Amino acid sequence: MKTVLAETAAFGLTRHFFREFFYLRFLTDTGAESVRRTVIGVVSGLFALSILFPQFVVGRYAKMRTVADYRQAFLSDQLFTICVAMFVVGLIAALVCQSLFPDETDYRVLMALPVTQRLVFGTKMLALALFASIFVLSTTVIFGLAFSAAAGGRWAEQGILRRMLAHGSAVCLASIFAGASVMSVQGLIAVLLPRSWLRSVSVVTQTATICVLFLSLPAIAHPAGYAALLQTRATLSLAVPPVWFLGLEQVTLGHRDAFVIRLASVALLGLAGSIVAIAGCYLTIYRRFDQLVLRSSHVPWRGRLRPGWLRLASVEQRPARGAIARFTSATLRRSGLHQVVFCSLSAIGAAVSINSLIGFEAGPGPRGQAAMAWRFVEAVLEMPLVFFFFGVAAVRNALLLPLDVRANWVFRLTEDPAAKPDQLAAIERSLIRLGVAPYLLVSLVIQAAVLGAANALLAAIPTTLLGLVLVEWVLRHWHRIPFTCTYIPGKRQLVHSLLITFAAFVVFVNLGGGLVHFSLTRPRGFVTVCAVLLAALIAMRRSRLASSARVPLEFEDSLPDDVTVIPL
Amino acid sequence: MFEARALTRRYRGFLAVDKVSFEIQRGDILGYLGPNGSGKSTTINMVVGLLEPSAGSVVLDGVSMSEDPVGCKRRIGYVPEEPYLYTHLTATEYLTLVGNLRGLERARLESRIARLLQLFALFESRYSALSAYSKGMRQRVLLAAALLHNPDLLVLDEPFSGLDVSAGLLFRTLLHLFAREGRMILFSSHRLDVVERVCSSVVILHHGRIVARTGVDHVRDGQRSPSLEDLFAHATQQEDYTHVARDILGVMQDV
Repeated sequence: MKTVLAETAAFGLTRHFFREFFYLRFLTDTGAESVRRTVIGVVSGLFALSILFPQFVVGRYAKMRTVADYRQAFLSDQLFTICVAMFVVGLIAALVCQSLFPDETDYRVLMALPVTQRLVFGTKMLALALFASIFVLSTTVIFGLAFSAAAGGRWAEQGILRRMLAHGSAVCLASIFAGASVMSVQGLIAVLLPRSWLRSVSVVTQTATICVLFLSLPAIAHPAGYAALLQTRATLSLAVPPVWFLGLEQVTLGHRDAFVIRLASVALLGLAGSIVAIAGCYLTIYRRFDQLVLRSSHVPWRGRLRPGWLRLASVEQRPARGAIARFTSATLRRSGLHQVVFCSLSAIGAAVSINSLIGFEAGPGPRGQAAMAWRFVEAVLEMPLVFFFFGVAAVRNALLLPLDVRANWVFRLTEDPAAKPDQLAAIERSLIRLGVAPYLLVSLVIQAAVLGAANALLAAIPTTLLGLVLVEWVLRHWHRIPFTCTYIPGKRQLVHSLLITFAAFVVFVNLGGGLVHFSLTRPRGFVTVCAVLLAALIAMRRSRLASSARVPLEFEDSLPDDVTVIPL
Repeated sequence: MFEARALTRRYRGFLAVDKVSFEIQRGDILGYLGPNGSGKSTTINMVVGLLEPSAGSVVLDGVSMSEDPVGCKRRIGYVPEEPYLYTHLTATEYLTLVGNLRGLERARLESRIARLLQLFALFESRYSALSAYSKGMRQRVLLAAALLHNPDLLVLDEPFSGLDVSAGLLFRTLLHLFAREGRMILFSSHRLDVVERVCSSVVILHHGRIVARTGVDHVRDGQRSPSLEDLFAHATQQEDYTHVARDILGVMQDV
């Protein structure tokens, strides 16, 4: 049976399209293997979460003292799980959104073979459905079924099966809606936009979708606030899609309130609308494949590209530095992949920053108020450091990703140890310009509003030094021209990497925030902190420049040595 | 003078190039021939400094590439076999990048780029990204990049690939004039007719070893010597392909 199936064109095409979703063209085989390991790690982590999350929920509900507390907590948790499921599926759809419809390669390669257009579109849709079902089912099992099975307790109003059915279907439909919405937007772009706009609009939409998703994380982390939207029957609920599906769940559980029914209707209409939009786009592309799809992927820039950076050449005294700076700038402006990575990580930074500024709850009495004010000031002082951490990481990761690796011969051919410090200076400048300076300005404005202009300006000095120290730390082993070296992601185990990143974040933000706060409270402290940071910055910079002269440029990423030699 | 001295390259036990030696005198165009997998590209990568030889050396006017790689690379212009370019850049941006990496002065670089773009008929497309260029246009950008810094040695790997007839004629004439100025050219190609017209001498490589070397004047005089194609077929032990072609037809008819 398996052999017979494997021999059919439909099976072969479906398998081909399904594998395409996991294929990252910019990685080498080793890099792709590493990504596979990372994906397995993430999926394992999610399943581990499906075991831990219900245990957490059971413990939490056991402590509830009144039915009102339970209801409020249950509603918040239901909304939280719906939001997380929508976030996961929406993010995956946004990441692969360039491959959701048959494209130019499919047209050129497959239409020349004796397969029908119907088969190509049918198998592409089937592969897409299989791919989407992995994530929809995973989120439904983890956040729908596992949660509702555990969310019982003495106050539970419905039986376990009914709860599982209601919440499982709400989570499942919500995640389908999230994925379908992203897909329908990309489909409409492919069908409606003129050729010259297609690529740039598609990339901008993709980046914007990912940014919006990450920026919604603070809201996801505080579901109680907008679960209240449902309880108070606020009209604003109609603008929050996760609340629609919460309404749908309430209807499934037997509530017949007019407002809840209205929410459920909106949920079903939204879901149907996005599915109809996708079907319409598929149908339009199917009918006008040759006209539409030929322009829908890898469309080259045919218009005049702004030669703005050429004018910058007139002020650039060092050719090597100018060359790398302009190459970096042009690539970040024109490469969709690099924009997505840069903007996504920056958006995570913004989300974490916003999250740290909201959700303060005052304790009882004046001491509680004072403690809250104190924590808020701390959060405002730490905010630029959070921005720096993610901003610098965003630039670093964008610069790490290769672009047309085989074209790097031009850098290898012109490699000159004497020019390397200038080339690395250009990278340092990119990190400061994109990962530190804009966030410093934004934070300065916010800090001036909260702490006063004088305090904000004073805080800006140690904060800037901390940003520069972070840049030096990131560059300490950097020996690459941006985008020219092969890349192997996930060289360490995922858990190991996450722990290191988390520890670095905690140390940098808390220690840095503490230093800034200390420098503001005592005049001597200010001088001491600035002197120590400046000394550290100079020492790190000297050490980096000394090592950069010794080590040649890297064009091949490599895994750490498999065998550790113990010098016995 | 350029010298390749006993160049050898091993890849995990596999000998890709085995003690290959040749010279190019000033004013010479050396044709570098060989079937696929014979080690041509490996040799060229060693000549331009992209690959380090396992043994042997590359010497340009008495200076070894291993002793002064930067100095040697500054004097070499290179056109790779495949037009690998940063296609998100425009032609002007790409040439400026190459010029800056080669440390050329800004004022001279800008005027030189503008003139080269005009002469290579790329000026009108100078603000379009290279991704919008045809294969021939990209090849012309690579040629312009290779000539930008006025090199002493030009290393060309299939340089006529994708060029139209007029661009091919222009480029052939350019190579002759370039060599006549006392510069050197290493010209690798599968196109025997082009090699016969462009080069002053040829070296034929097979299984990583040089199996023949001759002046092209010899082979041009077909009355007394075998043609370059015959020489190539003989040196690289090319078999009679008639029976292979028949076998292919047989396989097709089996289906």
